[in-house]
Amino acid sequence: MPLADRALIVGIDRYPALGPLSGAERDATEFYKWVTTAGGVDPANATSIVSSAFERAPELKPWAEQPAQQAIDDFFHAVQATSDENDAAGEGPQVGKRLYMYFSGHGFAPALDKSGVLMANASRTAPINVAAMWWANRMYEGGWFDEVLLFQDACREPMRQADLSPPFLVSLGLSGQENRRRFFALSAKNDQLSLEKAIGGGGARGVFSVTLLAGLRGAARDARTGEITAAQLKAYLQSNMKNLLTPQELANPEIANQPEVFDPDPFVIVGAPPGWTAAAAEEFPVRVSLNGSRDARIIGHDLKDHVTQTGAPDPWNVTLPRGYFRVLADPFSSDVFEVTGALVADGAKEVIDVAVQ
Amino acid sequence: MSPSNSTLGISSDDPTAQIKVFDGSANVVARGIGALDAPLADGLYKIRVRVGSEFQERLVALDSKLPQQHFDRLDIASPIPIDNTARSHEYHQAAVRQAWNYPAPALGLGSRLLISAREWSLDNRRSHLDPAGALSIVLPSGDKVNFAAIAKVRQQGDACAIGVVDVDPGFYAVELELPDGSRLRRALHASPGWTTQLYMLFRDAAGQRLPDLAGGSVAIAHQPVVHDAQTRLAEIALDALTQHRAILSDHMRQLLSGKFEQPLLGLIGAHLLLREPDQTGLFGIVVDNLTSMLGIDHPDVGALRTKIGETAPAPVTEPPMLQVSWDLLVQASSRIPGLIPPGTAAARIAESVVPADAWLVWQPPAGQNDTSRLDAKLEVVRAYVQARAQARLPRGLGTFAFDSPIVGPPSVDLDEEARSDLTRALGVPRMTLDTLLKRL
Repeated sequence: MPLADRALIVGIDRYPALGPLSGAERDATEFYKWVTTAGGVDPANATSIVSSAFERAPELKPWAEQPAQQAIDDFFHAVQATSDENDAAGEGPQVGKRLYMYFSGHGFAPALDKSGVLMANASRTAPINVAAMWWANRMYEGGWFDEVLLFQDACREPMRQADLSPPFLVSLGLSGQENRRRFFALSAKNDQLSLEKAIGGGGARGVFSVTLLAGLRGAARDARTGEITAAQLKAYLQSNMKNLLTPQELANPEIANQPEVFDPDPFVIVGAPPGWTAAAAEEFPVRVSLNGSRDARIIGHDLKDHVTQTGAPDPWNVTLPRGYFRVLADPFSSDVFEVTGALVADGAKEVIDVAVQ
Repeated sequence: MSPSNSTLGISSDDPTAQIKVFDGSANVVARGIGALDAPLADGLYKIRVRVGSEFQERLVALDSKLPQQHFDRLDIASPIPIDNTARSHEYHQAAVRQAWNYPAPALGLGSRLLISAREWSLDNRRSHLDPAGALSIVLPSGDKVNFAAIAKVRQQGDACAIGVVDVDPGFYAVELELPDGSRLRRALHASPGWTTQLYMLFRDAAGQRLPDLAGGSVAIAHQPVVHDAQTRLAEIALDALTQHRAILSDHMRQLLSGKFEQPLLGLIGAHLLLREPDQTGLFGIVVDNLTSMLGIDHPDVGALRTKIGETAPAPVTEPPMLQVSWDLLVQASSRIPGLIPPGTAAARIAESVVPADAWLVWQPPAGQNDTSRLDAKLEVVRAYVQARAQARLPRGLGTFAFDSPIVGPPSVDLDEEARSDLTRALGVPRMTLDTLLKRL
């Protein structure tokens, strides 16, 4: 029987000792919706841990707020228990093919490999946390899963009192690491803040999570194959988070406008929809200034014609899928331009402006 | 018909620039360091050139007529106001030179410390009421000297305070007092004949603008480093070290093999070499050079010497400057008993190390009875041991609790992997971990 995929989704809005967030649970809920539908994880194998699932702690007892570390520990205990069961059944200790780990909440990062997500009962003096990336690496290196995907939407400021809680499970020591795959994306680089803001009229959301989910829902598809690959998702996140920020936010070096995506292994995160053809690729508006009406054509990354028009108007409005393109309007040509598939803050597709010389 | 092939030639003014070429599906199809000649099918590509945390991208149409793609030097982020950095003002560079040229107050002889704390803004108007406040130098005797007493150069505009002091060679610490009364320290080692230079930018902390002690960078040189290319290279190398990026080009290896004059570049380069396969020869050369430059007693050198195969490396009695040096010492302390002798300064700070990135930072106790840092680490150990015990319970016994009448207290007989995880997480050497485990 094929091994099932699993998911751990954590979204914490209530931090009585640190100050609340507004969009972490909403983002986690959206990720849960995606991962249990297009993401292909059976809801029975998806563990959602969000603030509203717990009773609010008494006002004077912020240390009693939930979810706390035990809730996350329980997930990994369950992983190990499944491993033991599989092993006892003669199927080997592997738990599943793929593990999704999604975290949204307050976070900190004394260093790249020491970033943590703070639990609801954390305070400045008792920064109770989960070492999300360390856990993801342990799951990957330890052999519980073939593929581990970590998405962490949390600030990465230094927090001097915060000692990380390391993973308590010992590696299974299974061979075959060369066949395992991982994709780790964090919403901010070291020392940076992850922004949440009102996006698209539905309440506060994390800029990273909105971009991530747009990508996973199809905007990061390779226009040729229809697949969302690790490389395409990385490129999509790197190109498009900034489109949801204002010029003031972009000018602030403390606010993340790019995620930290570690050199991902090459693999397909989401396969092409059934019956996919390149013609089905979503297209985005491009406005070409031709310096007067003329014959024009647009070539794709393989230098083949993508669009041609005799006597194209000026401006020439076309739609193109994601990718690299070049306009040729004899005898002029444009520089190469990229269609990133970006959405702007109101949810509309970004218009790419291109001019021939 | 297969597409024709051409060579995509890329060069950069930065010999450590990481170069990647992406195809139309965002796959990396070529990569190099400093320069690259990539035979590729004619087509459209994206080139990304990264130096430190900064990068440039360029889209190109590759065919036989495409000229070599050259990338200019990038302005990197650094707290040191070096040339070609993003947060440098010429007047800050001038202020460093001015401080250097003042007669330095003398607390000793044979070595020097330079300390710089400065604001930076785009509009040159970030003033500060007391840019020398909150900092002090802790002498080997334990006495403190306020930074204000030696910061002879102070400017407004983007405010700065810079001071130089003559000292005896040895172990010093720079201390930052925080608004809540707690303090942070990091090591500055004064090596004979050298000036150890600490450069900090201000940042928001607890509602105030305070020097970013943990993020400040160190240079070791015989002169101010504001125009020193090797110091800029050391800053790029430090970013690569903390961000786990590969930057060791032939140029860098050549530098490390004997031509580096900036000891920090050698220290960081040696740590980068440790991450590469089959670099033991060059690593040994770099460590020997560093030993000659800084002395065998320098704890950052001592940490590296634990990796050159000596059966009994010299004990390290003082905390190193680099976090990675401390990590090496912590790691080595499991197999080399006595590496960090009890009662020494290095052993004392082990209980109060603060999680940090590039530089080792610790929080000295507020008083003799202040065990707050150790207690916090103890809580992490307790939760870890409890979870480990729960994970090892036979199925059906339910959730483990310390007062469980069924299984009794948890075993603290942790295996090597577990102990290694805990020392790494807590930044404590083996003997400190053992002490914590005994307290459970």
